[in-house]
Amino acid sequence: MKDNFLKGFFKENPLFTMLLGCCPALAVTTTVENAIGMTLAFTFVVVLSNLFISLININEKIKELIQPVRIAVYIVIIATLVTVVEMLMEAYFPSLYSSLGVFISLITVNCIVLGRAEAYASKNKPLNSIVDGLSMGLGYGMAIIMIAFLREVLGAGSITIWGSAKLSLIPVFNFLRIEPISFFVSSPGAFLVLGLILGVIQAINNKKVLKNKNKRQSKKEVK
Amino acid sequence: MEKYLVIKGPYLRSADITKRNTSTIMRDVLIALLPSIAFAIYKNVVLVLINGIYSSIYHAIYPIITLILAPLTSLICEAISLWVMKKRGIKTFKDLVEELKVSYGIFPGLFIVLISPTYIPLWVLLVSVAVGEVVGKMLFGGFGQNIFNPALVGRAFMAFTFSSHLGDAYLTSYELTIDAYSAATPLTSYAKAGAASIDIVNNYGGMFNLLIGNYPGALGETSTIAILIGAIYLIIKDVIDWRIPVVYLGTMFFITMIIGFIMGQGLWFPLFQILTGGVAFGAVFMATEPVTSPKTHLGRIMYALLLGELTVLFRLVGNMPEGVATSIVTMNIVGLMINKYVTKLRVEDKLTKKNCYGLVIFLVFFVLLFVYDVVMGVK
Repeated sequence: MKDNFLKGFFKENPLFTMLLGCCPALAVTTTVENAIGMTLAFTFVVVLSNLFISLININEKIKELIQPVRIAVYIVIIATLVTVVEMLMEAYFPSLYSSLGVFISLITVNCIVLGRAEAYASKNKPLNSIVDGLSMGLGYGMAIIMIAFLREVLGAGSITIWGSAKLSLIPVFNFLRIEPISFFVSSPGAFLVLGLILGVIQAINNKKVLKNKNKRQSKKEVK
Repeated sequence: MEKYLVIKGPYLRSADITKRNTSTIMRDVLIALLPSIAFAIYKNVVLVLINGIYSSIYHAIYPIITLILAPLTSLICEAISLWVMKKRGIKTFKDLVEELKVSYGIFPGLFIVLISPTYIPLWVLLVSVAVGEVVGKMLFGGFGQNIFNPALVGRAFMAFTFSSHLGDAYLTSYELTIDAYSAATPLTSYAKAGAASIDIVNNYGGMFNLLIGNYPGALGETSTIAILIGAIYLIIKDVIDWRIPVVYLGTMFFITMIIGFIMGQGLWFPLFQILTGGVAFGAVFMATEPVTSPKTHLGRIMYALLLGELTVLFRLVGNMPEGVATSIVTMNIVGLMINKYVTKLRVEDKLTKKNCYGLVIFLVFFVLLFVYDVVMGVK
């Protein structure tokens, strides 16, 4: 259970290791607030869709019945959940709703949600599926909040956590006599930040692989 | 002992015959840059000091400070990224120094400072140098591996990110005191004026002054004469191919001449377009960069033709006054395709004279079509 929960953060992080869900990761990460909102909406959808899809697949008869049209069935479930999220957000967080815009509806076609449904939820028990959804949602959230943090700090000189809970770093910038680099808020900046983070992660992985190799070699020599 | 000795080609290295290698080429480029640097120091430091028009001594020697700090930053960034990425198994400090000797880290910084406005804030310059060096060069694999010209990546980053800082950074206090000088560069004032008129040239002291380079502009690219001296040196030393600068400038001259005639202007219009901005510097030092420009003669001609067209397009139709940096970065992508296309022609033995003429006629037709487009866009 613990491994199942932790895998979404590092080992199987949807954004950093599988590069799924790039579109929202590049488009809504202009502020930390947007990224947090996206994380909440996304986690809600992926957890509940995993739950319902694994519940459907428990029954062998239904499973066989929907086999040819399963993608359509999954999409209907996911789209329903996304509509619920969209309406809730419009009712209770109108400013967040307007700043996220079309990207809430686009969760429907997010490959992570469909991918987890197809690869995990349809083969596993409901409880495991919930944990998997939570892990994936929060892991994805961690990734996009990381990108949003870097982009907002470098590009706008502030950290907006929620609404008016905003930390302005402009005094620090003024003290250093520099200004925020607006490039990072624009879309090329998003690509650059994502690429740099991926590069760092790849470098760390390479180091790990190298270490393991050395360990194995030294073990063989001992034997 | 192995039975057969396997040596990979090329078997005949030009370095063995002509005694030229990368380091002599880089040395020659540095020598060719000296006239431009000397003129930049003369115009922005010596003249300012002689006329005594400066608020503080820091302001007076600011160009020298940038000329020293930018290459230094670039070198330090190169060293750090080499160390962090562990390129080619760098382990000790000695390895790093050996690697730095053959990766020529000062050049991106030096080029960026020469094509940037003179009084650009120091941090803007250094951030752009770091971006050009790390993103444009080291992330692609270091010296010889970069797809884009690192200096122009930094310059483009500066142009798109810090555009608010660029406008007034061209102005020097010396230039303020001369009656008719305006704060803007010739190209900016042309872009603002909207309509072409010879007054623009006269405001900056006539065509001869534009040739010498005593007008507001980037640190190293105002003086066409100094750049020409460097270009002649490089061409004599066979470091750059004469085709790229000649075809580039020729295309620009030809297209702007036709556009000028259609707009009812005289010969001053094409000369103005060639002498101002970074066209000469870009044509000699940037477009000919051995790593990013095409490798074959035909490919180079095509490359330079398209470059000239793109520059005119960016200048006259686009909303930015200058287009050299953007067009060269754009053409660097196309350069890869040109390389592939021309080699394919070679390998398939289709590079006959007839085909070449056909290609040139096609390109000329393309140019004329393009001129028509630009004229419609300008109007």
